[in-house]
Amino acid sequence: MANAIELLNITKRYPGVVANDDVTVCVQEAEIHGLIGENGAGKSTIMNILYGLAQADKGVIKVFGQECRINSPQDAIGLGIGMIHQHFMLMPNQTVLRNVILGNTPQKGLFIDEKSARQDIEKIMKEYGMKVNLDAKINQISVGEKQRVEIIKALYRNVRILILDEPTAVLTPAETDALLETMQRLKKQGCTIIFITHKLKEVLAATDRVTIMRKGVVTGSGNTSDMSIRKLSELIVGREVNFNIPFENYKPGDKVLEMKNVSTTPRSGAMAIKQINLQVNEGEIVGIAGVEGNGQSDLVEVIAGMVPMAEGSISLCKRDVSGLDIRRRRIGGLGHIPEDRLKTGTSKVCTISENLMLNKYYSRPFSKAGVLNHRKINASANEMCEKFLVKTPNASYQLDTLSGGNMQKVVIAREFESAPNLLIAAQPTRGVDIGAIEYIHGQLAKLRNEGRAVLLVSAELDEVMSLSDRIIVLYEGEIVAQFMRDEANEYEIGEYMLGAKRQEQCHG
Amino acid sequence: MDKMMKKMGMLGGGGGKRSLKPLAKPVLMLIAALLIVMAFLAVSGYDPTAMLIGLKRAVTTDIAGSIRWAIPMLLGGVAVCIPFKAQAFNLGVDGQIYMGAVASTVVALALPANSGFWGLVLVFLAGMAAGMVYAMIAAAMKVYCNTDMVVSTLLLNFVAQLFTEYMAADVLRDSEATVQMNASKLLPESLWLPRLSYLGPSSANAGIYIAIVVCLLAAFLFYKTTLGYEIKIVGSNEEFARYGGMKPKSVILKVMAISGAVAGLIGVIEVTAVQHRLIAGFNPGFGFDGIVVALLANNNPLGVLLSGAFFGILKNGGSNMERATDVPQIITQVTMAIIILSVSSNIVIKKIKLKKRRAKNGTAV
Amino acid sequence: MELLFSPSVLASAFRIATPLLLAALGCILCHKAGITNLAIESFMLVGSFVSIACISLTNGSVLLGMVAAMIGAGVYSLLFALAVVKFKANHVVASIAMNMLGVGLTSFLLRAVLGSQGMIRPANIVKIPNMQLEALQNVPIIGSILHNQSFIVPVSILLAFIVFAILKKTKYGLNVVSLGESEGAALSAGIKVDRVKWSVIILSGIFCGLAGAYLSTTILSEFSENMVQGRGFTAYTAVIFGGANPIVVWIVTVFFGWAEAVGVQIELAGLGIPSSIVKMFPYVLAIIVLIISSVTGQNKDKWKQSFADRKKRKSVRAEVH
Repeated sequence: MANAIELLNITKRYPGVVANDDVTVCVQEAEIHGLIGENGAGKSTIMNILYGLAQADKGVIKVFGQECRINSPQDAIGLGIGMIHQHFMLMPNQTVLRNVILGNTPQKGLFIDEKSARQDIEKIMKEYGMKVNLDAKINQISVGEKQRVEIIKALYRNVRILILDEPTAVLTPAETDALLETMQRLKKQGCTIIFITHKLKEVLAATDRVTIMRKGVVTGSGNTSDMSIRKLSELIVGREVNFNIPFENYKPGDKVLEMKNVSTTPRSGAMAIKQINLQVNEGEIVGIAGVEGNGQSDLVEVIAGMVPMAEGSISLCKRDVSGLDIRRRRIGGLGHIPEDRLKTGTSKVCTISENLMLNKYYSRPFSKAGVLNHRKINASANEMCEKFLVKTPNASYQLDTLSGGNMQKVVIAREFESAPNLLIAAQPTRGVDIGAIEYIHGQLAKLRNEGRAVLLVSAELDEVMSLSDRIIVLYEGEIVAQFMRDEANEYEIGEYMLGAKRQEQCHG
Repeated sequence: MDKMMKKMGMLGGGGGKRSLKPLAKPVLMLIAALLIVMAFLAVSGYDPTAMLIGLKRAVTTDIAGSIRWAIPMLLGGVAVCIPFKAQAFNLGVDGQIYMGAVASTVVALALPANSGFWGLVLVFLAGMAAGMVYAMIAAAMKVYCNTDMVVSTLLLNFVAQLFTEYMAADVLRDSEATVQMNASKLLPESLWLPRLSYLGPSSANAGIYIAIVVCLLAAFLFYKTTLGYEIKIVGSNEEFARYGGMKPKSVILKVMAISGAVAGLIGVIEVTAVQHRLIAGFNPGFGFDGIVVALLANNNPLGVLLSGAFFGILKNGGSNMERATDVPQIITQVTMAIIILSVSSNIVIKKIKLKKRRAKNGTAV
Repeated sequence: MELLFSPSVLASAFRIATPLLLAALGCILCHKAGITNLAIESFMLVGSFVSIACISLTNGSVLLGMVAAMIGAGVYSLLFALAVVKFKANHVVASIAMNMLGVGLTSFLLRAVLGSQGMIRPANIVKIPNMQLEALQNVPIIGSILHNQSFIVPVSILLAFIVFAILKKTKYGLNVVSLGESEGAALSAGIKVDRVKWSVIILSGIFCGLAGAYLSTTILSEFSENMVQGRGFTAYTAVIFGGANPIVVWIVTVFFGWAEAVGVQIELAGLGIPSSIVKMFPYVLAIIVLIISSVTGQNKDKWKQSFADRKKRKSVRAEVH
């Protein structure tokens, strides 16, 4: 079978990280090819390169055997490649019809030739077994229908190769089945499909061949029929060095965090949590394992007070904080390392010192009657930088002079210094170099040894496993498994993370 | 090292080494704007050096005039830069100036004629309060109804201007005046803010001391108080501010209140020191001038001291120019507009650098 | 109180609304493309000036003046486009700059080119006679639009419908709308985003040029410094309140025009309300309208979302079955 797409030896570097390292992916004509791996594996990068949204540093692209340069989406579209992103590129207040014909609009004289557009689109819908109401507005249709609109849009431009980026991430099970069926029909018509996902069940059910990536490298490829869940899990999750972290005996104390039946409101772009029952005690680290996008953000933010709670109750150190604002939760003993330090955890145009004083600027001795005491603030900031190994000549430098790892250390320094009873650490080592990772892990362990409570949320399973006393798996907004330290290995946990298995009656 | 230096220089204030780099860009823009205007004058058949003649006078023989104009420029710059720091646009300074003027006139005319110092204090407080309240109308609309402050403040300006017309020409009118004019009665002399008599006859007045003090107070607010810190955080990353427990809405209300009070001050000074009465339409657009002052100073209150002084000289230069040559002084407004346009289009330099870097590295595959 | 809706008041309403409508149409195009164009105030002022200047420097033809105004304001708008599209300047700040520049330039040129100070009334102005359609005089609304009115009045209403049609039924309109809805969608669909942005700004310049010209040559017969007096901002408010729908915005501008006309009636009726207070009325009205549209905008979003959710639930249920 001839190759529709050949991505040969593609290397792409971004500052600080090699997103694709000598990656080779070959997709045959009229097959459904699964491209799988966790977040940060590099699959989005390689597909962006194929679609012209990014350019590779090294390597060759061949489409239907012809070598070519793809410098923009227009080039890709011209070659018959279409891409459906995870976040839809649709006009919310316009009808489906108008969305489909955007940029490819048939005209009759001065006006849009709606009639012929309608005919052509209906032909496509019939041929591929997809049905959407052409006159409905995008913000009135379901997510599954929106996705179908994107597919129809691509087909209306005669794509022969369709890239679907995590299409099922936002679909219900019923919608997912419908999509997989559509993909089969597309394949029958000769369309080549590249299906990016991290959901094992779908890979096994829908794909002909797979390529697995991890941390920018291809770890395996072959026929789906030769793969099993266990083998895929191994290739996706991989093996990582377990840092030797000194943990004292596990003696959990009083309840620090208690969540009862907590749910958040579902909204577009975020996975809500449903009926979460979770507890974290003194002197323990509870780790939330799961692929990103399964409700971790809502979980963290509802405890922090940044997202409203739809139902349930949260208490901190036995006090009900459900109605309290963020400041009061923090004063009540909450520390929070947010998952996106640039968006939420820091202000990069402010100095290191200004970033460090967020939790204490309003109290003595750092301010008195509203007037700041810069001497004490700077002294304290410099102390914190030294204590937490932030590499900077002094704390009056601007934050964005620091590397990612050092910025994260600033966040950690700030949150640790306020001596929280509960520290939420969300993706604490994301985008951080190895040396800093070791340091951060050591700090979290120290906190736990001192008798504080830590809620760790991480997409890196090995991190969760090496740090946590208790591991909880989150899938589609619900707790689906709990393990004690060393109770299960990474492949077993991986199966729960990837939705293949589920413990009965599970809570944290 | 080089990269760090540049990053610190770019945004004025902030830590680490201080360099003269932040001054280079605004100075270049000023020179460029002046050159453009001079070229424009030449094309229109006027003497292109007229501006320079006027500016020379403004810094030598007519320093007093420059001081007189610097006062509203400095205060306007502060009134605009405070909310700007929190990413709130107060385009209603003109309206707040009018309300401050009205309130101070009303109080001044209501007080007994020999009230002296404490009377003047009361007049000032009334003007600041009126400006503050008027600014809070727009702020409340934003915080509670999510009404964009840009259009609401612009519309409120016109309402305030008409209200001032009404008060000056109707309510507070000088019924004994021989010539009918749209102005109120004259304020009692004891409530006049003293002029700087040592500079000879001019409108330069003690307001300059007030203006300088206000700039310094604003700087103190930003750099030394908890509110100043909150303003900086809310303005630089609102999400970060929320995450840390701050309340961005409350910060917006506070900055608008302060801004309105400072704006009201401009009105008070114009009434008590310059005009000695409330005149309809006395405000030639100090609010928008304040925007230019603040932008050129990169929203830094200490920078406002410099840019406010400069624009005071520029405005005075304009009126001197009109007296000496026959070039209409409105050309200074043209100059200021060109300055804002170029400051807001400041991505020019960065873009060109980026393009050069891309060309060097080339595109692969 | 029937005077409130008398034919003469309605005629005034349409007359006053016309420059608002034309400016609003330009603003609508920019708004749909995601550009906050508050510089329309200066585009109108430039139009007012250029038309009067053209009239006093040539044979006095108002028609020629209007054409000159459209060209002049169109050229003026290029500066705004340059700042906002090429250099990505903040729309509001750039608008302020354009407005300041507009006042400065027109006042300066009034002195430099026309030799006047403060204002000018060209003696040689040859106004276009109003349309006289006696037959329609007593027809309720159409009469007010067509009888004894400048032809610009019905033309502007026609333009509202044309802009409506362009946005709904043409390829260009779809491209414009895509920019405002989702620039990402437009880019990935291959739309030339910058080109569309330039075009809507220039069109707004042309529309506002006509609006300003109508104001100075037809409603009045003069140009005075800073004569637009916030009409541009009022037009912007109308666009917001009217949801950027040309037909609805037309109705809103008529409403504003009517309010001002009523104000004039009140003044003429000698009820003792000072003229300054009466002049406040359109602005206060605009503010109230702005508040209402922001408050209902919030509620509208919530209502729209629940309506959309209900429809979604229906379609998901239909799928499952």
